Amino acid sequence: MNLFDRYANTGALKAVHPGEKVCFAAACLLLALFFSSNHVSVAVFLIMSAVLLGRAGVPFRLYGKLVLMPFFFLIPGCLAVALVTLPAAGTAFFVLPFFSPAVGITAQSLALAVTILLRSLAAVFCLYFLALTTPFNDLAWVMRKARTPEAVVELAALTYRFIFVLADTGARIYTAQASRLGFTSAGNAFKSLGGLAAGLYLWAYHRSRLLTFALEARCYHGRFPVLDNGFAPSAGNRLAIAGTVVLLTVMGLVF
Amino acid sequence: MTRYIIQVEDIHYTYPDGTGALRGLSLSVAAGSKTAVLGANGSGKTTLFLCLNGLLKPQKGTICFDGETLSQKRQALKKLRSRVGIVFQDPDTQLFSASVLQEVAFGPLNLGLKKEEVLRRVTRAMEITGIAGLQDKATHLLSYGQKKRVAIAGILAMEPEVLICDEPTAWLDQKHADKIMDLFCRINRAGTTVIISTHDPDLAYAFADRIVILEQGSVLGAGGPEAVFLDDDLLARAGLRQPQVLETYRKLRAGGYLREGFPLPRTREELLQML
Repeated sequence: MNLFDRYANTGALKAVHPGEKVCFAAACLLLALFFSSNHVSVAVFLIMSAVLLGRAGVPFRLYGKLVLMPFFFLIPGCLAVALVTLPAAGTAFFVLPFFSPAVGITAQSLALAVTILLRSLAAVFCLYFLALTTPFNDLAWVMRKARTPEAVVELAALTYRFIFVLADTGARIYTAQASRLGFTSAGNAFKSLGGLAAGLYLWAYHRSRLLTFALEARCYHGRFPVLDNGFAPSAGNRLAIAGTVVLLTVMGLVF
Repeated sequence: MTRYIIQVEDIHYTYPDGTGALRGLSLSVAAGSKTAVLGANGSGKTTLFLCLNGLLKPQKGTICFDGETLSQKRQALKKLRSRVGIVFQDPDTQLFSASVLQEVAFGPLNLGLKKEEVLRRVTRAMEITGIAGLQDKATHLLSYGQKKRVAIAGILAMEPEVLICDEPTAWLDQKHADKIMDLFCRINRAGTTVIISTHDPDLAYAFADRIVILEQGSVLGAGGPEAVFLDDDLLARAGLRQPQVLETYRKLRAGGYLREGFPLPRTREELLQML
């Protein structure tokens, strides 16, 4: 979380108009989901990878981790899709032993699993792109421009801020516990963890009260106003987005 | 005649858990003055400040701001809070925006000002506090000292008549603490009434032109810094030590080591000049 945020706030694409970045990510995401074609999915994955590595300045090591991360949920998910009950013996090229009726992988189920895997990977990379290049403030700005209800934007903004506050406090409580040998055995580790969770809750409650004070002290009246950021749109970026959309659409229609 | 911007008359506040934070506290703050509220932890400093901003309502007693009794009506509160700015001790409780610029702009935008005016104030506040280079940074990536200055800038941008700062130098290193106190002096010269809380007698003595000592929710003693800090009896009752500059001055003077014709020294530099 923190890592993503650091890149979004310091990366090379921070100065690019957030509307363009959101459009780019959203267009690629929607096309990948809509066509559900392996070619389009792979193309989106490759385009996003190229942009992240080439223009956003994401280091190769981090990129490697980013590729591996989704597989934690993709592999079990796709296995569940690939394994089907077999109507008749002989259609599958892999059969699990000891199951009745027989369970195995057929060519069709495997193809479906691969399609889902590629599609998910493409979708995850669209979101990676957004998370690694667009700071939350800019995202909120786009949400406002897109006429998202104020309450939703504010909720998102406060949630975002408090994730860090909460993570920070959690880390501090953990350090405090660990320095007093709170995690030396399985038994006291569980006990400490319970204390941490309870402490975090109480603390979050206290914090929300203080936040109310801080907001009211500055004349808060139910609305979070923001200053316009004044991003300059770029014709080149728009052209590139349009080109990508056309390319992906053609690919989706042809293949 | 002195114009009192804040007059507190016998206020009581007890927290829901039964802690009696304020017990019959009275004090007056002159417009344009620098007041330091001294007191141990739990003496009621923070609660007092929350009351002065209308964030807590005293169960008993009255608070007057600029001659008007504080009311709990929405509009009156908004007006009060636009004139009295409060900087909280822990900047993490105050900063909630994701970026520094938005954070500093929050207050002025709430005042309903035009965008140009907001930008002017924000830019000025960020310049005064020395955080102009941080404006696009995310607040959670700042260091503690930076957060503290952003919190102060967020209040300064509202251009309040009274600036209240709870423990302005807590957890800051000497250099940044000096900078902040220097900043408060400048703001004060420009006409803003400044109230700080601290438990550091040296800081209070160097900064303030009026000292208020709190103990257990009421005022133990108040007056000019010389009067308060030369009152050994009062200091003993408050459990405070004399500011080092003053203590050294008295010892040196008693020994006849100092040149005559100087006023009471407030800072180390002034004392050194007298040697």
